[in-house]
Amino acid sequence: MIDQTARILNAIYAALDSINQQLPAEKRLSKTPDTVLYAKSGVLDSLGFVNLILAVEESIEDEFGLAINIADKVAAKSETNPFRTVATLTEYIQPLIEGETSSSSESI
Amino acid sequence: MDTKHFNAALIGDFNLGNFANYLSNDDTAPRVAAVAPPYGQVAQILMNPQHETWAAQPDLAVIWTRPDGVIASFKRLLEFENVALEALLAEVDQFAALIAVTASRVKTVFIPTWVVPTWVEGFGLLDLRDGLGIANTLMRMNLRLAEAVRDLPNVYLLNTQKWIESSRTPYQPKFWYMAKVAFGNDVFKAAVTTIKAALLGIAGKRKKLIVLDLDNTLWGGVVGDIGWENLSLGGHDATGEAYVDFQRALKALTRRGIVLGVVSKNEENVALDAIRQHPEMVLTLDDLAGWRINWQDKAQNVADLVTELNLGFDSVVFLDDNPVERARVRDMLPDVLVPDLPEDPMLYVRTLLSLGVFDAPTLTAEDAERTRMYVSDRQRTALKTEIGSLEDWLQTLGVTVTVAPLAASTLPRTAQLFNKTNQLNLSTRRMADADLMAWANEPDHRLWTVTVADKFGDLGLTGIISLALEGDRARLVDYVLSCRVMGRKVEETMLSVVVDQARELGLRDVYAVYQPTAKNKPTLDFFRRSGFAYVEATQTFTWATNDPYPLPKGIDLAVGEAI
Repeated sequence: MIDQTARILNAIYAALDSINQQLPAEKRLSKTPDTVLYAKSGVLDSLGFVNLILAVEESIEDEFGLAINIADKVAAKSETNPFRTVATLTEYIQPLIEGETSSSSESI
Repeated sequence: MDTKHFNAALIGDFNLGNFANYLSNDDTAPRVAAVAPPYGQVAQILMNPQHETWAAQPDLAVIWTRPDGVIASFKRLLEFENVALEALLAEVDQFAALIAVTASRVKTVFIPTWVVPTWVEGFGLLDLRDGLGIANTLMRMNLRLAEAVRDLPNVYLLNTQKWIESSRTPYQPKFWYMAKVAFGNDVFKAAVTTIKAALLGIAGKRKKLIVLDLDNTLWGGVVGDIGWENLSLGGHDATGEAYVDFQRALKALTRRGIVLGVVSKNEENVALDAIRQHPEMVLTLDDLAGWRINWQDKAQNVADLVTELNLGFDSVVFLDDNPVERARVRDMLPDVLVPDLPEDPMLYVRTLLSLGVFDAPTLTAEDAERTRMYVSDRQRTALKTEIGSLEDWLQTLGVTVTVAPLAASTLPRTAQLFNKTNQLNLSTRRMADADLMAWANEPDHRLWTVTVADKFGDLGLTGIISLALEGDRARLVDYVLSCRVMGRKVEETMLSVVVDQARELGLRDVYAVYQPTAKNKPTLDFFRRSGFAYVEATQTFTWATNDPYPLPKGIDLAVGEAI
């Protein structure tokens, strides 16, 4: 059984496949935890950032059947920007999914 | 128009950044470098020829707007205000005028049609009511726009609704609120596919020939094993009906100028019997430009058939249910498009019609008649085999050649021929319709079209000749002839016409400079045996007009006025 972190990582990688269709070959994002996403040294501009948010949300919905909102207005401005790398984004999403899962369980 | 690379300006009232990225980074041919200037300045950009958008001299413009973004009356209608339809349509006309201005600035303009998001219900039950509904009004707006640009040959309306229907999430409110992107990315990806197919079509690169297998492709079953009486084709049977519909779809394409051929591993007489005798066959032998039915290598048979029909491999689609045969043709003929046919024949029609490789910028009378022309060719070739000598053959064909100055009525077909002919083409110039007409209308230029017919039928407008008058000399600028009529002395007839014209104008000589390309060696070969004096160093051919250029025997020539 694949653990939840790996599933999140796969979902983000699927989102990167989608993002890469909009990028020239030399700027395409590689599927590694260290890949820089939205930071000073990253290749994504502000529109690319919006694309990243939507692509990841769609991938997470495909993988987990859950609608999450990672575009929280606090997130991008927080000192520890969760969109810096694939790894930080994975960490950021983990509790959002756990929260959704537990609230779903509670409502049953 | 260079088919390898296009520069595009994407102008819209919403953020077209994603669309520009997809268009620029799509690896399929032709490559497009797209730039989206700041959105929301549609009128300012279109009206101002000095705007920086035009400084880069884009080949094409895509003007993509939301109806409520550019037609103020429609925005008020969306808010259920009373709006006079005529006033609203007048705004559409004003928008169309901006498009007309743009059309004079770039070679091609694409306009995605107006749509509203799927959740806009308008007046609900009454939304299609004439004079009231939002959906009704939107249809009228799109139709009015289509009418307004109908006479602009380089403006194409594209059906946005098709892209929306093929999209998983055509609208994403989050995209709109965060970045003013009006559509989901699936819509932009579908638009890229459409626009690339359109660019290939405009450049004359559309597919022209479909080579078909027979067993389990045009019908169900192996005819050599079970006989034509037992094939799955039509009848009260779902699979049989699917094969009939597939044949219907193929036949329909022939009316758009697509030619069909058959390559099949079968006994020829058995297969032809099935085509002739099965009562539910939609395709007949007269729908086929040619066939190779034998036990030889399919790739070789496809190559032979394509060569016989004088087409390029890049204009061919090969359809076969057998993945091994598909792989073989793919390997041996990499320029041929070999799509995977699904295992279920009920999906054949969808696969065929989704290929998106048959688009053409215009539909001419010749397109609709192309298959008939190839069938006539087959009959002519049979006659040629019987008779032997070309001179005798020509006499029996009764070839008539009609030459006339370029006219508005012949411009679309002339431009099509001008831009797609490769083999017999002296200069291989490429020009849009309007540019070609403007060139022909220059005082020192003459351009004629050449129409050919024989006793088997009308071969249509198949040649172009043009002269530029340079003092006491005439330069043969364009010498274009469709490969459909090559080898019937039409080549010599065209030279006879230009020399006669130069003599009438009192000019000293006619000269032609051969411009070599990868494909026009047949032109050099013809001119070298034409009798024109040849200077190899400059690739120049000259005919002094002291003597007329002899008109070949057996040709009935008519030089007329513009049609």
